[in-house]
Amino acid sequence: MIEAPVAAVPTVHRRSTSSTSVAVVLLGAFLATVLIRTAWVADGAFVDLRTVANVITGHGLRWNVDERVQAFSDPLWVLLLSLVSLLIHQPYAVVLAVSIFLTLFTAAVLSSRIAVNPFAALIALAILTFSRSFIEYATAGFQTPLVYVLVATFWAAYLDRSSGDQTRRLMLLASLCALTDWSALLAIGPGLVAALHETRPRGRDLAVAVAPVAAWVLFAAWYYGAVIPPPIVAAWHAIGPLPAMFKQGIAYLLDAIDVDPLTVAAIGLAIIGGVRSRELRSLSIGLVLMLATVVFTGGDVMSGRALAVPVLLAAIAAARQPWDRLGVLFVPAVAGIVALGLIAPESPVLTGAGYHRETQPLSVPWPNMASAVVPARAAIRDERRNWYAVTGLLTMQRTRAMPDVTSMEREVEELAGKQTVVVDERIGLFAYAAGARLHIVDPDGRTDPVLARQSPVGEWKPGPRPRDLRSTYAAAIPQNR
Amino acid sequence: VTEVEASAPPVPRVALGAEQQVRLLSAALLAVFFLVLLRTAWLSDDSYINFRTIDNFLHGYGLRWNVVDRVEAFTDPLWLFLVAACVFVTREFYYTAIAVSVLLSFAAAVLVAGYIAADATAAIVGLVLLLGSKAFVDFSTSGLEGPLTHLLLAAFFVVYWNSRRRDRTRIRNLSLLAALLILTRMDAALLVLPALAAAMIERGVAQSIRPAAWGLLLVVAWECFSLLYFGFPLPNTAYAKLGGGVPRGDLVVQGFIYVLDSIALDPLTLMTIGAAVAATLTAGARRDWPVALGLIFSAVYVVAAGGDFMSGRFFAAPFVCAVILLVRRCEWGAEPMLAMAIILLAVVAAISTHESSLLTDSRFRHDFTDRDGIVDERRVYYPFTGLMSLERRGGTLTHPWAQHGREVLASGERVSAYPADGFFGFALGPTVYALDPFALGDALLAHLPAAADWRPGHFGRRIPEGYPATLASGVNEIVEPSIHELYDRLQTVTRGPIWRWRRLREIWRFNTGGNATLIAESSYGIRHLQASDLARRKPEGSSSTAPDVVRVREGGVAVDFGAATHGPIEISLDGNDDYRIVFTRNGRVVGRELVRARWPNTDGSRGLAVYRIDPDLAGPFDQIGVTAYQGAGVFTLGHVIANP
Repeated sequence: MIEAPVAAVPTVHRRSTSSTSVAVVLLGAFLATVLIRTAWVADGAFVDLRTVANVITGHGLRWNVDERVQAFSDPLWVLLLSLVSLLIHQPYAVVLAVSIFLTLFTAAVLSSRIAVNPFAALIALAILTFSRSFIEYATAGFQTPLVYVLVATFWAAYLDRSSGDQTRRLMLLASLCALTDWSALLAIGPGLVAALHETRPRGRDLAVAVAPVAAWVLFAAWYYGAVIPPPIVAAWHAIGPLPAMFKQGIAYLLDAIDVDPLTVAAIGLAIIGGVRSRELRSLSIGLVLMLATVVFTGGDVMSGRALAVPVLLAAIAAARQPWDRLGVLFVPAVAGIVALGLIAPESPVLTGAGYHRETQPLSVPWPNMASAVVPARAAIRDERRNWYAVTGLLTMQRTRAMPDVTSMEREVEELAGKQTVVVDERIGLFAYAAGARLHIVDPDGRTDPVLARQSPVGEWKPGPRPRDLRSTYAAAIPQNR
Repeated sequence: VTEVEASAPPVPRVALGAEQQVRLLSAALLAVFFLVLLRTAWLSDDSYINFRTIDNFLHGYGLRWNVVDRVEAFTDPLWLFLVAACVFVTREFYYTAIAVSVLLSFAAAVLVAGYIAADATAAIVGLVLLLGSKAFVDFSTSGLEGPLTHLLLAAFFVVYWNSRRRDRTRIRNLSLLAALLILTRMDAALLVLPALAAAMIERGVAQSIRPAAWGLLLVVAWECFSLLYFGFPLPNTAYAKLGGGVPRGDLVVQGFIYVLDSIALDPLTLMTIGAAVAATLTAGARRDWPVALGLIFSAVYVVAAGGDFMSGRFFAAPFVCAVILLVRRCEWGAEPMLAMAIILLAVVAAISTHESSLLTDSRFRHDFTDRDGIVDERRVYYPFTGLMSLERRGGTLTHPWAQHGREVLASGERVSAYPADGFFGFALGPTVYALDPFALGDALLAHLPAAADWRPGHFGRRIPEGYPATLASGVNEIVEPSIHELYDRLQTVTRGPIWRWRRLREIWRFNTGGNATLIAESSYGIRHLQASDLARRKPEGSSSTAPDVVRVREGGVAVDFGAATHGPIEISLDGNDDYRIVFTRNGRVVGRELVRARWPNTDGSRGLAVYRIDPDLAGPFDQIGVTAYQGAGVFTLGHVIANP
């Protein structure tokens, strides 16, 4: 069938513009479809959405309406959602629409400004589309899609040497990144250092770049009385012993190899390929830093979440390779990505409206035997599986509210009838459903400036850890309100 | 990259294989498509609504569903006449409808692959997309008008692109094909009218009017016939489905759910439509823009109309246009590697849901899942009407609804009300009057407001008291005076002699809203009450059927407070239903609130639920309107107190 030998295929094709652009658009449409099919909001994201809901009802940037506490660590994301929600009074719809839009914008930046040719764009988009980590946290309600945009735009600016004000743009994007997710600075930090090493920034550029962070710090100090928000303080006080965190971090990577092999493979290849390429060396260093952070901090409680930004970096690295030189091997390369994506257990591409907790395969190795999942793996949750039935976009129905919090509403009504302050670790959807009716005290300290500064009780484990609620402060709250 | 491209040597277009071999592959794919059509062939319940009209027509009763009434219970006159002509020859419905559908769908695929695709590789891409689309495959048979719509669309675009712009016959042919399309499925006009308009502008509007009039004449001729014979310009189904008084916002939400359903069950279809629009508007030729515009119009219409109850059906025709756009403009043979990658991704997208038509066989059957009333229609009926089904018995209908129809026929009943039209009505034959609560075949019910518990395509009506007796006796026994009067007028239209002056006057009145007051005065209209009538507080859990509890019917209840008031209201409503409350001041809306059921999915035995509502209003209100949103049939209002 194949008449021309592989060696005869020229390095660069003379392209039919319409077919190449249509191919990229088709894959972009496929990505959009997969995003819509998998769109969901994690319970943890409702922590931010409670603040957003309070903003649109006029209570200000607060989590409990009666106190000025910054219960979020991603101010740019919360401000963006609040702004859009002021126009459309539906935080759930807003967070999904904004997330999908930002992720598609990232794909557009990747294919039009970073990819060296349409073949490279196709490979990069295929990696993103079939990566479980990238897809699952592209929606989820967290700040990840905004980080995607900022990281992709940063690397597009970094790789575009023709721009005169490159340094200022890179610093400004880093500044915005810091306001969205501090840890994402690792993804762009080496690139920023390299760019600043080449071109010393002017004072005015530095001032422009630092302005957003400075403005927020001033606002936070004035409004909240604190610069570092409770979630970060609580996490800092919950840091465990290094060996335990390292062991958990390794378990997190093993979990990723198990449930999302494409992501791990793409990251690994990007690190190796980046080291050998001058323009991608900084990106490669960024990837190594991010992985090291994942391992040494014990990863995350949500499977794959910590690898969502790294896999985007891997796709950026892939977009800089001249894949058209593969000739006829281009198709097997795409097929390999697709196959590696599809062998992930319940790949997002293959899951639909019926994805929910009960579809989880049994973790019992033998009949009548208790579950034998080791604690380190058991601590890592498949969060989309847990929440998709409640917050998945495809589960939406005209005949019920979205998200459906009917049962929680009942519980809130009963609680509100008895007391206005409750101690409850359900600071996500439950607190969102409670709205302004309840003042909720998080025993894990994530939304409470006093508890956040206490040391947690019990042994270290990844994720939030409870504080000692017998303290005077916690006991005094109900009487004081 | 651009510089490298410009200096690169030309690449021979043989990387995938010789052109002849590629053509052979596309021919093989056409054969596969034919096999898939046979494997998936089925007939829907709704197709038998047409069949009953055809049966009556061929037996000399005219184009009627119930033989006594001139009611247009079909939306696709051209498809109806085509099937009628074939059945006239074969004297059989089941195999005839399937054979006609398979042949037309195959012809549509041949046109796309052979006459529209830019090259043989593009044809392969197009055929893979067609094969992978659940919506296209499912409605390539089904007994509905899909196959004829797809063929006419393909033919329209063959003429649009393949004939010379200055060709004198081009506008005439395009206009005739557009007219035939409108007579097959009226909303398909949205897909072709922008292209027809663009073609007319290209040639010069003045020179195009005369040739375009051919198509216009065809449509006008049918509309004149429809108005004179049936009394209405639109099919009765349009009034039944679009005129039920359901708020536009609710339909739009349902339309959005329809889009989500399609993405859930059939990701390839909407993905292809989206890609075709995006690719055309960003990098396409200007001549393709009207087609993309047609796709956008069509998508907006589908969402605004609330979609359909048949999953994917309304996206099948737009999908054909999208495939046509994608294969026409791209010489995929120049980029065989990209074409192969796209084919691979299309296959993955097609089989990424277990509902894919390609993965079904003779054992395909109902799984009793639906989404807000949207169902995988082929799955529902395949065991009974699927060509390959193991349970089908020749052309005989074995579905329980058909069986019930035969029982009714045997019992000697003259009128039978049953919430299913197709199999049931067909089995009844011409002697029994099928009273359809969803109003598709009933002109009186189609002109009454729908009940709140609707689903797409199924807008149930409350049957007026005395109406079944009226139909059985032929004497108007409807109890409610205004509905009695309405039926008298309607009878003049649907049963009276065609050429009477009085009938023409009634036709005018019905089509210009002259009977609206009759409905407003009836129990189907708004019930006006004073707040003092509803001031007696009902505790939570009290009976929702007590004498002083008010029924909330189709038009809802308007509670007048006499003076402007602020603040919250306390209201008791049947606790297992959802209600919409609209706050107004001097007729101007100042706020809305959707009250969700306290005990959803229960039988109503828990009685009234009391809600305290403190809405975010734009100002004081002097009236609230309470309407049922959705629930379990009976909707009630206990009390309303402002500032409790």
